[in-house]
Amino acid sequence: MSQRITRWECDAKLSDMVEHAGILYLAGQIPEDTAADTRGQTAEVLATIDRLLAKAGSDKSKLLSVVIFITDMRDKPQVDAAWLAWADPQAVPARAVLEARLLNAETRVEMVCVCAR
Amino acid sequence: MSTITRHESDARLSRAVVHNGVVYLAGLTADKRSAGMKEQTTEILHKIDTLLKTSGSDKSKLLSAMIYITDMRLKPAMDEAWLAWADAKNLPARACVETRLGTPDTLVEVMVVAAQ
Repeated sequence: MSQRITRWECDAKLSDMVEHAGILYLAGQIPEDTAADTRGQTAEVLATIDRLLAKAGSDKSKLLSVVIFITDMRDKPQVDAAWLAWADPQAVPARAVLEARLLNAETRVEMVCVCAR
Repeated sequence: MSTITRHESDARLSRAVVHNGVVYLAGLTADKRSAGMKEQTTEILHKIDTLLKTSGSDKSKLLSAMIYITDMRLKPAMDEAWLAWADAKNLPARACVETRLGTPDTLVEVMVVAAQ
């Protein structure tokens, strides 16, 4: 049985967020201010996630899983610091962090989230 | 409890798994690994069409796509194949990162989730 699919903030290549059967799938989110350090970039990405989830009437307390890509595993403490300052301690998602190269050398962090609506 | 249907399974994995109206495809790579980025991507996207069809879905119902490429400088060639294939009115949430893949001449791997 087919259920409705809703898409938000589509450009030529992708939708920033897609909802199906009560589940929100977010595109890989990267910071705009790539002059910021990894902690600052992470905080910006997390704020972007808040903004997107709010559009669908959801929020970070309903996150199911988050995959975090960072360009240098030595930056993980900075990511964790921003994450801990942001995450809902009563409702943390399944999370993974791994090292990958991203869009450009200045982009230090990218996150892919799945969230309940 | 809803059933789980698996398609094209071998000893290690299923190419497609369907549960609760959602189709999960395995990470797909090109067979013709002598080909360049655009051609490898196109081959993978055609594999996705076939697997989604087998699973009772199609590209207009894509929910998310995770794209792994071995060299970010080749992203424009991947995007070219993507844009030629994607349903412009029904684009999935997408992410693309650079990582090492299964064999040195595998340039791209794509993993998607779709609704039925």
